[in-house]
Amino acid sequence: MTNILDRSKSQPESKSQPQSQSQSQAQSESQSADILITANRLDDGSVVWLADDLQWRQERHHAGHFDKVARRRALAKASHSEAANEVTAIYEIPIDGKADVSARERIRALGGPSIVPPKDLNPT
Amino acid sequence: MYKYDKLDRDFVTSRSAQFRDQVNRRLSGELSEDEFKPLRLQNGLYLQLHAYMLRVAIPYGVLSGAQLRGLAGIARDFDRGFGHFTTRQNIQFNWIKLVETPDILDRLASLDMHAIQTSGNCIRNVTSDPFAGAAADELEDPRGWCEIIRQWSTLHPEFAFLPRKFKIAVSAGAVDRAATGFHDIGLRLTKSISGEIGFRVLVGGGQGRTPRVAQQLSRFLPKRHLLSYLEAILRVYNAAGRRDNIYKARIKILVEAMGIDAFRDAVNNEWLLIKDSAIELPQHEQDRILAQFSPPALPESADNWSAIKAKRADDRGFDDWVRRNVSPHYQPGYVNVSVSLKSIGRPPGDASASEMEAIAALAETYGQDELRVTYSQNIVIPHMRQTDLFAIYTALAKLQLAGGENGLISDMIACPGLDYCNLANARSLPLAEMIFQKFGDAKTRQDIGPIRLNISGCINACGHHHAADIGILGVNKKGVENFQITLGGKTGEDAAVGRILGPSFVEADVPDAIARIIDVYKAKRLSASEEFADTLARLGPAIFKDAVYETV
Repeated sequence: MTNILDRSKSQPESKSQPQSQSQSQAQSESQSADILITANRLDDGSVVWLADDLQWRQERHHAGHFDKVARRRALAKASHSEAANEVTAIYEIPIDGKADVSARERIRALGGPSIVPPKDLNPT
Repeated sequence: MYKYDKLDRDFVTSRSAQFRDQVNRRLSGELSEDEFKPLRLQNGLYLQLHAYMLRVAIPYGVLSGAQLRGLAGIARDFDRGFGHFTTRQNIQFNWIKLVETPDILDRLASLDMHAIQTSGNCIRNVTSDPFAGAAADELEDPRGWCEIIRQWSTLHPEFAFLPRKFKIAVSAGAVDRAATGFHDIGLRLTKSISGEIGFRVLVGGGQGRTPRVAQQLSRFLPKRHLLSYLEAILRVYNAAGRRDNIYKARIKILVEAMGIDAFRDAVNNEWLLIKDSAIELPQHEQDRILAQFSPPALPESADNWSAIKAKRADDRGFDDWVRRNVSPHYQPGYVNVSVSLKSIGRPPGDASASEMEAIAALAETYGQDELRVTYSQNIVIPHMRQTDLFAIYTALAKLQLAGGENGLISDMIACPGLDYCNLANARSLPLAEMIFQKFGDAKTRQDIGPIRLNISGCINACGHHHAADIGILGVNKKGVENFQITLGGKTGEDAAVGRILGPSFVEADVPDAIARIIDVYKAKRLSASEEFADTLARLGPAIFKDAVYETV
């Protein structure tokens, strides 16, 4: 079972990258702040967040805020989902006004890039 | 172009079937993510910021019209209708579903394409001059040698788990258009004193957090020894390259640690063991592969520069396009056309499925059904008749792809950055747009003239900022996207790494900083024909730094 605090498993693919400041903060501060839990769906890669009802949702605004009490159940659910091959690359984001509003997490929450890609004029 | 034979087709088809089985085993839980990850990476499948990303190999950047149409079909059927062309002449799709990836690999196999070795610590897609086999200044077509390297390196059992990834580029033009100085191995076709053509071998170039320009390993390598010599280099690297520290694992670090002379000795010692052995490519196989790159039979075509000159006088857009995007061909009456994937509102290197199809149609109609993806993230259609230039321009203009931007400040190389990439610190693409807008007037861009401006979203330097006249590097400063500026990077014979100018800027201030650099250049250049790089070399960076950081 993946340690969901171990971002080295859930983040970089192949290339070298030290943890960003926000990521380091995520680790050091996650023990005290409330957290969000996010992952990618295994079969299609979609970004998902764990909601208060412990269901995975694709919209960031449905993400649950898990305090010290709630996080144990939430993390257990996340680990169970990973073991059941539903999600992968799980990590937690401390709600600290830094990591949760970093450029990375804001763009990820958008569900797409902040620019407009070229449009296919002949879509099927 | 190289045509797959039955062996090639069986190989990519079986590889696709193998990956389908691996995906099924992952989805069922038989394979853990840790077990599966190296398997998917070896097939070009990453998990990025928003979704899975598939990187498809375009060997040495060469495509047929049917292959580009096929990639358009993949973009449309399996992605969101567009793709991103990279500096290593590949294409990336950003919204891939794991469950559909085996179907995509099947589709690629049907196009004589694949995604093998586009990731992982192995020998990656070999890259080359986008004008290879069509340029006027070329010693010899390098594509056959690229294909030989591709076949040698594909699933090479000894080099599947190198200390780190390994990139090879081959160039044969008088001008190095493949950035060979920034590759693990750079091969430049050259002529010996006796007139024999062979390879000048460079080693240890690369970018990332430790940028290095490649050093000369061999001044002249006879062509018949190419594979044994490459094998010797790779063996030395495989045995002595560091595996304990990912930041020190590239061959550039080994070459630097050993010193080029000691490294050469080690390679030569290894080479003596295998030179003239079965590792050398048999002559008949060399002949078979090189024969597939025979020049196309181009009928004689009139040289009509006088008519083109008259049209250029009437049409400013056509004039700019011919000046920047049309380049000399080896045969009189023919030219090579660059289709710029740089325009306001377009992320650099992106093309929609419909655009890919339209560009493929141009290659089929006016060219020889052949296209090239370029280092600078554009597309080249080689072997076009001069007499068709205005018709080609008109067709491109209808597609809004007729920008005469090649080599100008707008022709930025940019990585996907934080908009897509899991590794990035900052966004490259919005900044590229802001800079393009800053120099939004075509006349201004033409007046600035040739300059290379590249943007990377992190120190891994996929946007090749180290190798640009003006490089921009995204950094994370207390959680905020910031950008460092470098000056003086170059590719080509005099390849150099740019130097950091000073403290970083927030995104909003970068376009003004670039404008100040350009203002100094325009004020200080000796004439309109002195390019930015020459003015910078003549004056040094201090005057530019003073202008950038002066407070008003």
